[in-house]
Amino acid sequence: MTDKEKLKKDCVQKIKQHVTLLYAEDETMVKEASIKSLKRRFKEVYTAVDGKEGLGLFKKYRPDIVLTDILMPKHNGFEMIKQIREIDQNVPIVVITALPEDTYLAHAKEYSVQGYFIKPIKEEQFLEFLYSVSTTLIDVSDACDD
Amino acid sequence: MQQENNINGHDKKLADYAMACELVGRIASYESEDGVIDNIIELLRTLCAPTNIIYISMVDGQPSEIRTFPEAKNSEEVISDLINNFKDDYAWTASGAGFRLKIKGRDGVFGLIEIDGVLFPDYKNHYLNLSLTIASALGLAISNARIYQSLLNANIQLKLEIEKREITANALKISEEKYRTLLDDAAEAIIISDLSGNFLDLNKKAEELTGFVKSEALSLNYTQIHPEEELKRTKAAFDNIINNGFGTLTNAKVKRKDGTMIPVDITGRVIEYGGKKVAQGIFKDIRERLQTELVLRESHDRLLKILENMEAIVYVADMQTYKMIFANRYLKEAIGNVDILDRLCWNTIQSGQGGPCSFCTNNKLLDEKGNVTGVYTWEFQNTVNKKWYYMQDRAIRWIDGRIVRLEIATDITERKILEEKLALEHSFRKAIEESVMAGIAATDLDGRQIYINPSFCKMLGYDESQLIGLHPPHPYWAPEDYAHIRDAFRCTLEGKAPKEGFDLIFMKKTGERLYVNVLMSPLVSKQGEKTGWLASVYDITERKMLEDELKTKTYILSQLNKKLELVVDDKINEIRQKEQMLIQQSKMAAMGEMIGAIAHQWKQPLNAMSLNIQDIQDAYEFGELNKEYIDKMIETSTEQVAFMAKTIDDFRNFFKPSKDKTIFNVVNSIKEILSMFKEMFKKNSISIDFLYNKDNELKCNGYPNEFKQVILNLINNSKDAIVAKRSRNTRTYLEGKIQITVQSEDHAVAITISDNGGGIPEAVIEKIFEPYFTTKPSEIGTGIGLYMSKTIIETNMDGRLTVRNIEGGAEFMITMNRVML
Repeated sequence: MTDKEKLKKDCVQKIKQHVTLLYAEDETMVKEASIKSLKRRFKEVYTAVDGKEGLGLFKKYRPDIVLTDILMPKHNGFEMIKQIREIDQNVPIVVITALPEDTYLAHAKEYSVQGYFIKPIKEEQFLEFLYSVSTTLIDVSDACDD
Repeated sequence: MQQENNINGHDKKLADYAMACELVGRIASYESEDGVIDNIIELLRTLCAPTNIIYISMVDGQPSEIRTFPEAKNSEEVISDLINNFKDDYAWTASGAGFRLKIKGRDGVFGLIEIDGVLFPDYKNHYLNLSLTIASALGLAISNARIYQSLLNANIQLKLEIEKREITANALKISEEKYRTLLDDAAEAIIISDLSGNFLDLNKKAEELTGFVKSEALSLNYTQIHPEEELKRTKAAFDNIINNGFGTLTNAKVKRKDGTMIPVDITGRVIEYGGKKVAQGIFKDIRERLQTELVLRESHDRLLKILENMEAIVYVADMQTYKMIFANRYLKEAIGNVDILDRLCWNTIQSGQGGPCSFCTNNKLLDEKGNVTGVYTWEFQNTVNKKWYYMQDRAIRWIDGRIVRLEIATDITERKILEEKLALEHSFRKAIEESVMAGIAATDLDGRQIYINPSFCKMLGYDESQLIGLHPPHPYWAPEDYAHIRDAFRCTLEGKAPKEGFDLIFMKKTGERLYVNVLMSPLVSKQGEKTGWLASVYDITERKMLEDELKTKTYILSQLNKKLELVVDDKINEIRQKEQMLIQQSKMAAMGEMIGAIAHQWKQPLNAMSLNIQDIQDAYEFGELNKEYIDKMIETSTEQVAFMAKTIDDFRNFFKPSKDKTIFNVVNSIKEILSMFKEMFKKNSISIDFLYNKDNELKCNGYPNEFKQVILNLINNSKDAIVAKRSRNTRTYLEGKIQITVQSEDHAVAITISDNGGGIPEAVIEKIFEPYFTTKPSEIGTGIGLYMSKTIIETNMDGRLTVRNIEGGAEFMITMNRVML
């Protein structure tokens, strides 16, 4: 095992020990399929079926990263993002949606959304992105940087 | 007077007035009773034309004179019967062909008259009525005549007396003694006074007149025997007598001792008496004369009253001075002038005359000797009011003895107008008769020609002599039309002839065919028997030709129409094909949407499966790949595949048209369609709220798939409206909202679908259910959806589909009959 690999392993371990996620998604089939791999890699994954529940969970657990769909019943994704931003300007937010429209992209920028993934997501890329966001959070940039 | 056999109302009125005029004229000569009676008998003779007339004049209830007509006739029996047994005012004669009646006046019966054997006994009632009217006028006339006669007698008496008085006065001159005797014997009252009027002597009659005895009278002055109001007049007359030696005073009054007044005429004279000059007054009591005059005046007034109220112009004018003496109300109204009396007739009741009218009839009313001639009648248009009058003029003796002109004028303007009209109509009818084009022909019952008119001959080119007397078939019948012609005769005899007549074919002498319209009617004798036929024949060859032409043209037109129909059919087919194409297009569009919807529905399970498959490797790397993991993996994958399969089945079912009407659950149907398209609306960021009562067992009878199609159509429209509204306003993002409600009433279900897509412009809201009407861009709108939806709901499912705009959008409402189970 190289140093680099060791560092990476450290990093992965730290992320597994510290980083928590909030995942708001109303499509249960997709959510169930996604969270299996996320749970393996992160300390905790809080799941919500709509924006309203998501906001409640955010206030309760203050997760490190927020993953959200946009089209959901009761408070769609943007409404939740807007309210989360009122509480926390910095928490990284990643949007996972089936919508490719520019309107959403514009909204996403307005609320300084970190990432934007269009379904069906490529899991490898997605996880890699989450790791990179997580790394900045746990302040182990030195250790994890390539 | 002229009588006509046939008289209409107007002429009757004229005749009546003529008679009235005649009557007035005849009775106006009241100076002689005999003259009146002669006149009236003549009138009655003219009127009734009887075989005999008997007139018995009655004075104080006793017969005084008898007249018979004809004179020779022996009628003593009848006369005695009349005098002794005739008690009523009138009665029928023994023969039944006449009547008798009484002539009555103020003072009783003046005469009895019997008129027998009148010319027309059937009209004896009429004659009696007329005669009674004449009789009452006659009574008035006789009464007048008798009064006039007594007046004349009085005058003669007066003259005699005056003469006698003269003689007396002269005699007095001769001998005073004798005078004294004469004075006392005189028939009149005589008073002697001195030249100052103090009474010196008076006779017996004077004592009777004044009521004073001689001893009383001799202390009186003449001024004391006259009423104060008359003194001035009396004094003037007295002075006149003293100055001139002679004078008279008429209509003076003597005031008697008891204060009563006696009217007198006084003759005064200065005479020698006892050696000195004295005044002698002879007083004539004129009470009786005044009374007579009064009665005469009353009669005259009655006559004037009759004239005043006649509905015709009546006036009396002096024949010398032309001054109007009398004018009745009718005249005053007719010329619009009430101020007529004493004015000149020629510038009052006529105008534009510089003197007596040139047409004045005065000279025709008197003969050379100045005697009354009779009635002169004439017609004239009045120069004042321009109306036409029928004038009956006559000279009569007026109450003051003058011979005057009496005119009775009846307004005949209306008759004149009628006459003019009649003349016009007459010439018109003549013109029509002369210009009759129709041929007229008559046959007897055997069909033998008995009459044809010139037009008929001219029409067919025969001479009258060539056809009259011939038996059918007539030479002018076209052989090919015999059957029709015989039918026409038969129908007419049976009374079944059509109003429009028969169209038949006749033949000219030349053989040329003639199309004719024949109006036939049976000839009927006075006894009501049918004796033949009368036919009027019109040449309609020209019309027939025009009709044929019209038929040809109509045929050509119908051919054209048929061609046109083909063209129209082609067009309709074209339109149908187009319609089919549109429907196909709309189906394709719907199919496209379906596929889109399926794609949306499948995205989630596909995503999930994709993730699951990728997770196998991840699980392996994390050492989780065991039996438990594989079981779980198969379980979720099977679920996902099942979901996808169901989606496909749902859509396939949805596309299947419902075969029969079935009872379906409304709420469930809506839920199904919403779940099928949930993803599509989510993708368009449109939320659908579905509100319904807990009772979701609402059932309707119909075609569930078609119903779903309608719901889908309506929510798709809402979606399109929302998307279009968004694209119009990009500054704020519109959250699409659709609300579906289901409500139930007793026997109905109401489904509303409302949105916030901005609604339908009011200008087109009436049209949106019309086929091919769309407001959408052509790539998505076909104009079929709402038309189909309405057809499905209203035609196939007995429901109603309506629309209205609400706040922010449109609201469609479906109402359907609810099925109660």
